[in-house]
Amino acid sequence: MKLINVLVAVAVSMFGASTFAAVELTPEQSLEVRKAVVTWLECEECTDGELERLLRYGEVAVPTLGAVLERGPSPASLEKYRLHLESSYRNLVEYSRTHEEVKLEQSEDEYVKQYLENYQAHYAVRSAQALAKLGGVGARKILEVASKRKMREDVNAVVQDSLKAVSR
Amino acid sequence: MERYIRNAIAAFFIGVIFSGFAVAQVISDDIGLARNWRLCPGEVFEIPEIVFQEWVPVGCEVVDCCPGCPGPIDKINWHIHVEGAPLESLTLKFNRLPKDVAAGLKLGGTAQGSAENMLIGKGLGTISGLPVEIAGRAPAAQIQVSFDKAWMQEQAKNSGDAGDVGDADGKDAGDIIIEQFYGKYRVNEYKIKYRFPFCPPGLNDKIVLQNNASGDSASVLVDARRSGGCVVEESRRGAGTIGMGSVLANAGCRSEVAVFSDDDAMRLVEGVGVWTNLLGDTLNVNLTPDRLMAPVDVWLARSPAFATASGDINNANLLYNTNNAGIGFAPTFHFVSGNPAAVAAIGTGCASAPGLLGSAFFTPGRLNVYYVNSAFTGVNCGVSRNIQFIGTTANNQSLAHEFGHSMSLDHTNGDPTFPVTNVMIGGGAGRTHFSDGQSFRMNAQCSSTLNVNGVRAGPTRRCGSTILGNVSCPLADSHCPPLATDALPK
Repeated sequence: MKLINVLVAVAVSMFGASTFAAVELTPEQSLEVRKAVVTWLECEECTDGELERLLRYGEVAVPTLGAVLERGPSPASLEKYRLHLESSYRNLVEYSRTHEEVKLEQSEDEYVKQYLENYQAHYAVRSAQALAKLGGVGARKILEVASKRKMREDVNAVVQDSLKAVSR
Repeated sequence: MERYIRNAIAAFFIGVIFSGFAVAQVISDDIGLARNWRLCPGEVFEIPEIVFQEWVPVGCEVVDCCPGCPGPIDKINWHIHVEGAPLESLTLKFNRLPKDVAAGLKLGGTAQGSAENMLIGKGLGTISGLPVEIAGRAPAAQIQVSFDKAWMQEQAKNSGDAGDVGDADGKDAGDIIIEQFYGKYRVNEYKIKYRFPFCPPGLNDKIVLQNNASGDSASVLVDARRSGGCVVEESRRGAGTIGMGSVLANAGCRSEVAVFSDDDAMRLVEGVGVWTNLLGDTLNVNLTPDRLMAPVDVWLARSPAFATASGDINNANLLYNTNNAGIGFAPTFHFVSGNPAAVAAIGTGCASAPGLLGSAFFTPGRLNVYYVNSAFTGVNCGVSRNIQFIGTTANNQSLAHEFGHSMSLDHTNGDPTFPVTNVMIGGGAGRTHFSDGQSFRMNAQCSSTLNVNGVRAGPTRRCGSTILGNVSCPLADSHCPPLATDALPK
């Protein structure tokens, strides 16, 4: 697979990073890339080869990762998580009525807001880390733009580290 | 001309990229959600409808919708499959759809009605023209499944003494699959499986649960002998008296019972000797003691983190208890973010764990959780399963997930018998379930911190499908239920 990355890097250096962004993937190829991206974005400890799987796609994954770094999870994914958090909080309220060890320190709004922000931060962190590993002109450019945006301190630290680590 | 050359070259390299590992790359076909209900004569219509209501957001899974597809995307189409004998139809109610958008939806196949109340019959229904965003948020549809009552009555009549195995041909299951498309590109999907296993046999021989603290429907796994020979991990549910049909004298078969119940510790009764070849045998199982509470030292090395940590512990308590694991967590909070020595010793992850073991910022013999200022979700450390770190981007199940590792559980990724809602799947933000096979391991596996720390004192096992712990027991009994064993429904 390293040979493929070299070939892709050569192609990018000759024709520009937009080369890959400009070409349509088949539905099957698009689905493969989406699943690889989402698996990496969502994993907890990521000990099951999630990043390696994503890196196999090389430059093809860069536009999606760039979009995630800039815009975060999709509206549908955010809504899915929001609905889950609202349901979780209601379950906690109900559970606390019969289990006195459960003392709620946050309102529903605070609870939902906190985890939604973490979710967005998590996506940004993971996309920056993957872009740094993928490298190339396109990935570097995306990280440079992101590094100038105002963002959460923990996310900013990862973006800055990723920018230092990314290869051209 | 240059554009054509560029596209041709890119297409060539993309072909190389995908052909390089197309064989090894299997698209995940995981179960999205799993809902199960046991089918017994006379109880068919007691299924609470709320159990079968779910929400499905409209839109793409990733923010650029589909990698390498033409955009921008504003409208998508749903393909809705209603499949399997138990299912009759599906009702959809969309929220936040403006009237003009709702009026413009085009329905096909088995779909009929309006956005406020749409019915999808058996087979394939389609909806075209759904918007991916309304005022910055995705619209969502509440779905509610209707079941084929005639099929249910027939199935219940036939349940007899068929045990818990359900229909071997999978005829006891139905699926709802919603695929979201942009043109020919599938951009999101939702799957839910409903299963209706046969009702367990009658009350001839029975298990009687005593001191069931919350009176919940406990889960029972039984190894015993029946007329067909030895049986293992037959699953039942019940709050008090649980019918077993005809259980025979052991005659060389393993005979034991494991009980999982809300607010009670797991009970593992080995060497059950009450069963005879006559009917009317009773096994009494005392569910005392109540839930085992694992002490947890929570070290807050960043500020503010108390409300978050407290919420995470609360959620872990809820998830472990309501899934019948019989385990709870009793926290002691240490506010050390203002102590530079503590923050330095704790560090930001498992690299600090070896140094922490002998420090003032680690309590031996109990779970230790460190809330640190670094951008990750959570991690349990191999150097000591008593140590877990929670980062700044954790979700509301990260701590519960790490506690699972501390009690010997591995990830369930790639195991098609687990839905994506399992707490031990290696990622995702909607994890709410433990199987009984997992609860068994957390309690009985010798390397589980529950046993290593002396929180539990019952018999231990050496189970497969676990992670390495700091204790091993090569000579322990290796009989354990399969990891995915689950006595649904509750």
